[in-house]
Amino acid sequence: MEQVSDEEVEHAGEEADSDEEDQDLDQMFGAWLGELEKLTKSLDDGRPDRPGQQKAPLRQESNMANLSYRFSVYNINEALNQREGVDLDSLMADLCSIEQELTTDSSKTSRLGLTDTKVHTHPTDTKLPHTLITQTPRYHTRSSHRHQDVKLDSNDLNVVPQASLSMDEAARQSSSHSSTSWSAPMRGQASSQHHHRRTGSVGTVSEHEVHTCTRTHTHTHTHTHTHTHTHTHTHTHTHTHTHEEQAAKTKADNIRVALEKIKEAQVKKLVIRVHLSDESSKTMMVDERQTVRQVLDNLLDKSHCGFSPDWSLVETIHELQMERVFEDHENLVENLLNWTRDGQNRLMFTERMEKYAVFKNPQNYLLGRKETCEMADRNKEALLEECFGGGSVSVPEMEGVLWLKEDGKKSWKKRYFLLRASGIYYVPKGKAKASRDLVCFLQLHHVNIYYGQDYRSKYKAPSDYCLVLKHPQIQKKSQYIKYLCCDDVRTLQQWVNSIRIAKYGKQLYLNFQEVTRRSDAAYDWSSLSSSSIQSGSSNSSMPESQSNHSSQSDSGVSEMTSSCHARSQGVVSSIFSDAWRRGEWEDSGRAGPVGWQVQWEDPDRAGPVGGP
Amino acid sequence: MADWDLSVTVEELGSEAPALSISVTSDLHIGGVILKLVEKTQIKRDWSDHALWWEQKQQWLLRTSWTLEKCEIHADASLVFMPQHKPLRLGLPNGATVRLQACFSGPVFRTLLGICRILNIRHPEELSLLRPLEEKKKKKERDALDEVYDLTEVPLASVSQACLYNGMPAHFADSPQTEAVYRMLSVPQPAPAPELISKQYRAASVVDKAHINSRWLDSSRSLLQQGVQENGRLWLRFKYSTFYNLEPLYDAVRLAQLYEQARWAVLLEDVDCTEEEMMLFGALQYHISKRSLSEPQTVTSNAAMDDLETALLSLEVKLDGDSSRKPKRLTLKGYKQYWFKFQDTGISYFKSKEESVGEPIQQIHLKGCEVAPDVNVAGQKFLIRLLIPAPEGMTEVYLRCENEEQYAHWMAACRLASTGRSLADSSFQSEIQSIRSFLAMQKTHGNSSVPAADDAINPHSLVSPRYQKKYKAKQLTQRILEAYQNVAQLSWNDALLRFLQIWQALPDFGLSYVVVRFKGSRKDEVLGIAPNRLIRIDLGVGDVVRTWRYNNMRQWNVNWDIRQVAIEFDGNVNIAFSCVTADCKIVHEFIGGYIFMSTRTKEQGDALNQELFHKLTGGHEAL
Repeated sequence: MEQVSDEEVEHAGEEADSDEEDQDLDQMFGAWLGELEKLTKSLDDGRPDRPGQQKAPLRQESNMANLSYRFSVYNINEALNQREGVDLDSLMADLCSIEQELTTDSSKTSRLGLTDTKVHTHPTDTKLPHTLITQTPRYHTRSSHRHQDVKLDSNDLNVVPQASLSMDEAARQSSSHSSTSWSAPMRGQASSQHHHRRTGSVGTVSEHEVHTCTRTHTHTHTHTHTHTHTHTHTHTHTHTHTHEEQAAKTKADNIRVALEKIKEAQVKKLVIRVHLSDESSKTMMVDERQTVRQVLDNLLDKSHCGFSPDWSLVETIHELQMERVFEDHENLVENLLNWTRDGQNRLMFTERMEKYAVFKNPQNYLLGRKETCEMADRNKEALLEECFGGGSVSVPEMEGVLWLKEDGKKSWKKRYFLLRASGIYYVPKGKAKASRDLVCFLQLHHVNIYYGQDYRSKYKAPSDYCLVLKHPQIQKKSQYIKYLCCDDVRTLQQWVNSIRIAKYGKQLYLNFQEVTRRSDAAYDWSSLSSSSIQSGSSNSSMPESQSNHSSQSDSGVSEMTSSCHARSQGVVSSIFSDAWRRGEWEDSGRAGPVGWQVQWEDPDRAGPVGGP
Repeated sequence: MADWDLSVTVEELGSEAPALSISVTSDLHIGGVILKLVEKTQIKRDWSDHALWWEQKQQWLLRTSWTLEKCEIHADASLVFMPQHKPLRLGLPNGATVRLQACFSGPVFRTLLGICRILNIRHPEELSLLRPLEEKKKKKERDALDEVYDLTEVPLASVSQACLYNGMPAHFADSPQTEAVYRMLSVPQPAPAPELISKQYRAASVVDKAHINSRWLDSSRSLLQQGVQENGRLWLRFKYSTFYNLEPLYDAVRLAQLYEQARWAVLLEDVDCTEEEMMLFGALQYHISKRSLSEPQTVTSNAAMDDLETALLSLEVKLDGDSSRKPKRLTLKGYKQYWFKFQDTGISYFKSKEESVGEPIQQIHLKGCEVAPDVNVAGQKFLIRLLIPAPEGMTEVYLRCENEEQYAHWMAACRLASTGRSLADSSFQSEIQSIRSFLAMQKTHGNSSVPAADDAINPHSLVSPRYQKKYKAKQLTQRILEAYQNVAQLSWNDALLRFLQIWQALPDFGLSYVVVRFKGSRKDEVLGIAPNRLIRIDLGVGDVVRTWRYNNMRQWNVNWDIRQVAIEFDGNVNIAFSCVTADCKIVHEFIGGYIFMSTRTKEQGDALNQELFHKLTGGHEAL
């Protein structure tokens, strides 16, 4: 990694003045801020000045550990080497907006580990045994994973200075009681900005040691230097006491300005390329905290394609010929980091009917029926509430014969599969389908569900309606991938959606409710735009929103008045409202909702006490 | 109007005493009768809870303003004057028996509300009272055996749910004795002895299960009307399988008892589950009983911090490991020693300790990987099996630890890391502790002649008799330990809730069976009543033949004369059946009860619409 070694050189150079501590602080910050600017500029030019990025990562053995950075490198490469120009303006806009968000919302960023900081700020113990010092940076480590990503992406896009929190803390301290403690951590902070390494974490070493840790590259370095620097520091410590308050204050102010920038840099960002269905693509920036929903909203805002809950981000795994619709609650970056560097996976932005089909027509998925049918909207609502509203989610009763591609074999065999909340099971040969005899095919914790594409030709599948279950990190052919094949598309959709319900449970419903709320909002301000036509035209698409809107403008006043009482009584009452109303008509003299509920064939015979 | 003599037995005078005779006229109202009666006894006491019971008609005379004439009481009537509240022995879902004052005169539903108020169980509408199973002979022995928790002294007036003292409702905080009762109510019982599980009655078939449902009391009639006597024995059970708004903060007793009922349903195979599910239930039971032992003495954060520091230091130790990148068979050969370090959520290893400052040979990121134990304490085998996802598939790595302690630490670290948590996580210590105790479980039961240690749990206590027979303790420990991986980090409450969730997600959960005869059919079939639907089960095949959902139900009728239930569904679907194993009132109550449960809303909170419940479940008594 040329880049990394470049940095080493750079840092080795800086190390020389690290002993002089605070004197050069301002200068250093200036340089650092300048560098940020430079990076921004280079983006504007559209020409990267990062050499050697296409090189393979560190070494083969550590692939497993370093998986995470592959994607981002790949993407940046792709983005930057693309012939068609990258939309750098929009990237800058993204960056700005993220920055803004960060400055206004500092509490959010500090979640990264104030607790850590507290743990670590216990006083320097210069008598610490060697071993402890070498060990500590490793142990502390909530976020060193992040650091490794950064090592390779140490460019403007994903800088992650991990120690900035302790700096934050330090700044707060310096402004509140003394001007003594900020200098050392500050340096550590600044240097980690360039250096981003796993040792950059503050660890259980005291703040004062931080800079040495972050500067040095190898572990051996770390501990030798730590010692020298802690000593140096105790020295400068007393020295700073003699400084004038005023000077300290200005510096503290400078620090605060710098902190803003650091906060910004704290969040990892990725440049991603999103493919649209018309073969075009968009480049955008996402930060590591964003959910699929947030990214979708972002894309929808920009693309003016009209709001629909069906808009989806779809991952296609080229080598395995499979795809998956990301769920709205998932973290996008986390998923994309599973991709291999050299793979040809794609992220598609497209409308997918199946994404929320379960909620648009729950009767076709939740009732265990073989045939599709219609259902009144309020019954759908009740059905959904019944399945997802309670404390536990009932998994649809899915069972039937599916084709299974046996591990490592080319043939497909029929088996009788059943879905339960605890996983997918099959009935062993010659057994009845009693629960205790079922064989567990797989449990759903660690696998995602994908659609296989064109498996008839790829794997000689009995049909093209295939579903695949695999761990999200698996990207190449493997015995750990399970292939199932259905006879028809309806069965496929039922299985896939039922498995999603079993895996994600209520979250899926919450996602749908969230997107429905948003589409309501979209409806409000663009009442007659294309989006409203879209949502209005499919009569079964959004039971919730439809009923909400109609309640205000609908002419069915009588409907309203008669059912609103029922509504307030709860879901089932509303289902029963038909019967209810009938009961009220039949027995209008009686108040309350009893009339319809129990009718006796011969009520006169029943006495007040009765009984056998 | 002519005077005539009315004879009334007063319970307070003892069973030997002759009935008192008072002179009355037919236009005297009940209140007047009571007044005369009290004067005649010449006993000064609080009679306010007393009422008249008409023996022949098995009926309470509670309307004090009604005249004797209106009640149709004549000189031949024999009345009993007795308190409306009497002690009742109540078997709880956790197997314990409490003795408390229950109302014998009101409808059972109201009695139930009173009982649940004393026991501090919210949403009493979900429970009901059940006649106990016929006890085989030796009744006395059993009575002596059972410890009875006495709550009869709790003054009913003082029962309030709102205020808590020392974390319990005020009426339990009165004495150490009642405090102990509250602990019994709110903390799950220790795992039962395996023999206790296998000795219990198990419903072997759907028809057996159907018979249980014939024992529910009628919610609309009083205890005394249904033949329950003072100090009688009843069971309190959750009847309707819709548990509204479970909230650990307010529902300590409700949750604990619900868990107990669920646990026994699983252990007695009352509800079917797969082997994997049984192991998971076992793991959760284990976790819950461990946690209920340890939860009260939670360590302060500072102590935890110190522990962490020492733990962190001790973690960097020599560890045998298999470095092969290819999946490797588990053999005792082929292990090579490396120096391992735990770092963040990953492991790095080095040729030796001396080289551990440099670049590792390999780093393994554990986030998202599967961690499984492979342990045999007797054989001193302590393996951690890691299944690590990679683009090419899963990589299997075995780490071999030298001893129990090392294993516990590394296993705990791996588990945390697999869920993305580092060693700094607060659960690290408890994780280590739970692994230690798991090892202890294997130790104590590897050899059956060794008596179990105090806190050790016999794995056979965690599964149904089927699996007690199928697996030896050692094998079972291994299986449960595997399932344990996914639940080990749960807090006590979360583990309880998870247990309930998995229970509720079983396909057969919440089905109450009744053997019925459908109109026009010549054979008995089974009707399954679920929270959201009715199912028809063919007894011959054992399969579900039809499903009807309450959502589509238009109305249901009961013809009390021919004791037939008729239900109309949307689309002109009509069914009618008579009930074979249970009274049709029980079926009627089940259906009406479930409809009632679904009318509960957030806005209404804890307020209970008793009237609506009676209207939906009462049948002809409701009018």
